[in-house]
Amino acid sequence: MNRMYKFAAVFAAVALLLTACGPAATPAPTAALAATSAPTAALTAKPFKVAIVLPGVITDNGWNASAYEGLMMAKDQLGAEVAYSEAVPQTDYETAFRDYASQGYDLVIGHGFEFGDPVMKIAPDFPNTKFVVVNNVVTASNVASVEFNNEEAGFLAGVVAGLMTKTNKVGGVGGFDIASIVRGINGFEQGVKYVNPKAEVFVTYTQSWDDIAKGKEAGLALIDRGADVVWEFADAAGLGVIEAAKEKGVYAIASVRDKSSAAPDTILVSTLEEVPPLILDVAKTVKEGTFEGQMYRFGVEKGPIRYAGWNAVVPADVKAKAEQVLADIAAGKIKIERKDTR
Amino acid sequence: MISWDVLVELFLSVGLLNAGVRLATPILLAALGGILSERSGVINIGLEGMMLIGAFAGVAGARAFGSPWAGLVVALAAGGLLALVHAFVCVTLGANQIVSGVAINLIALGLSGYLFRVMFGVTSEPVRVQPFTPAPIPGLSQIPIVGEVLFDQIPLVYLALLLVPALHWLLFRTTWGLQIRAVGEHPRAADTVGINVYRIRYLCVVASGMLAGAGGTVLSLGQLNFFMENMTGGRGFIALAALIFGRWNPWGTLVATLLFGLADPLQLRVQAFDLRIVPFHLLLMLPYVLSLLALAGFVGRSIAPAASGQPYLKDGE
Repeated sequence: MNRMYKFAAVFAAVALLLTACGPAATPAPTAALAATSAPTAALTAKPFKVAIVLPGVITDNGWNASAYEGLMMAKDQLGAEVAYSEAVPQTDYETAFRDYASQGYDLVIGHGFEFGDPVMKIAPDFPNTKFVVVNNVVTASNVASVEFNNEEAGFLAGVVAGLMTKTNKVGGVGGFDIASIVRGINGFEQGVKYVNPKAEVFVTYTQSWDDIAKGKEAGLALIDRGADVVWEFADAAGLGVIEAAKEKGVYAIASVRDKSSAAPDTILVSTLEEVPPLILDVAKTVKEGTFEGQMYRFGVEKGPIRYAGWNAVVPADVKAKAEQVLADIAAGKIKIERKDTR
Repeated sequence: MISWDVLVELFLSVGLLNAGVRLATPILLAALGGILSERSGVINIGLEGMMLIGAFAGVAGARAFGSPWAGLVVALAAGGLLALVHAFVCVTLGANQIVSGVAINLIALGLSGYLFRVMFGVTSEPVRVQPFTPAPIPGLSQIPIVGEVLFDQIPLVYLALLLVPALHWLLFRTTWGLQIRAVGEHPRAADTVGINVYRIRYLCVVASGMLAGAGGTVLSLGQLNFFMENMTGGRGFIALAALIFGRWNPWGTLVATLLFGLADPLQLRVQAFDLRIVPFHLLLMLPYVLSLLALAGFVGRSIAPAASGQPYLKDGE
């Protein structure tokens, strides 16, 4: 029986290790929570079907919530039949896409950089399904990528942080140190230096999208180091960063969505990455048959990345300067380096 | 390259130590529950799920009754209820305890997320509740460093710390404790001297669920003030590792949880201080590596209760 125990303990330890290493190694039955809803008026004979595979849960108030919002827009405005899978564990990436494709979905979206490989692997098997990967660069005849210029979002946050800091120390919290996030954080550093060369930038990665308590500790670690403005680029874990700033009485800059209502006194501004209209647009191209397997890049120039929800405490000159930087990026006057590595 | 000042600033910072104690508390509560359960002979892999359901129930209770203490009571009930399922499957049905525990974790993950959405919908911002606030102990909290680290915390931290000697006393100084250990070491012998094996196992498993539920509440109502799906993020498993590292002993487990509690704030600070001496990924592995070392016998022999994991059937064999 002692052996039985040892086996169990090793099993537990392996499970632990997986939990520690993988982004979503915890088996998530929520993946099975795929919700399907039929359009109220299905006029066409064959319904137009759109599915999204999400790395996190739609209640994260961030990255995944915005994808859900976009999906609902496709449902309401295009009459699409929609479905989504949440918090899909790494081991199920391929299965998730394969399932939707074999069910005859016209468009299957992988909402994150991490879905690039599984999509490229299975796309050739389903020529009648279109795939879109958000924040990746993969393309094929039936695969398109939509990429946000995260470095621009980071730069915008950095400009505000660099102008607002009094200690000349600012911090950035990233989710995972994957290419798309690292690029945002590197953009943040460049933005800070652009307006305030003296300022120091500290960075931490939570290695989790949804561990809010850890996000909060990450924020506290930066604030401990002296940072008085922190930018969160960590999805739901970022809410923890905002909590840390609130508790310590320093400022935070939010990302992806306008989160000002989450902490009105703490959040200076949000660096918006407007996901919903993009999802609607790409669904439209599939529905109208104009879809092309190419790379779409979105940033400040085309509008989905911008500032949202300015706090009244931000002085007018700071705001003006920040909006000027935004205009300069759009006009190509400021060149931001796209750097994927730490 | 790395100045001593930075290292001193890092390791002697009140923030780091304070965070260590704060983060150790949920793990400690769950691990103490785990000790109780395993000492009675039932392995509880389901601690993670019981914590998660406690985190959710705490927020739901605090929201409904307007007080974190009410949330705690609801969380105790929810954790205990989930543990009751585990006890029924493991004790009454004599099923495989590992399988049951894994199932409990999956159930808790799905159930907490589902109930949360049923109650609050898919909101555009977190559903906030009244959290526990730090209650500095007069006098003691004035002591430099130690006071700030130990005596300026939320009340549940003090309770968790007090539970360590209490559980030690219960297990090793009382008749009940003797009975619990007897049931965990040799249930048939315990049965022959008239100890009700089933009742003791039921009580211990349910108590472990309640403690894990309380641990979850520390997370959702102590460290934060809202619930997020899967917010426990593997802490229940760390609690299991801690009780193994602590060799099924409350004091040892306290040391283990403090060590593990420090791992996260330490690795986050190593990043924040840009100390590239150690890749922080390695620091993240620390609790697990330590547990494996403990299991492998590097920290003295690690002996589990002999009947832990063994279902006991009265008429069996």
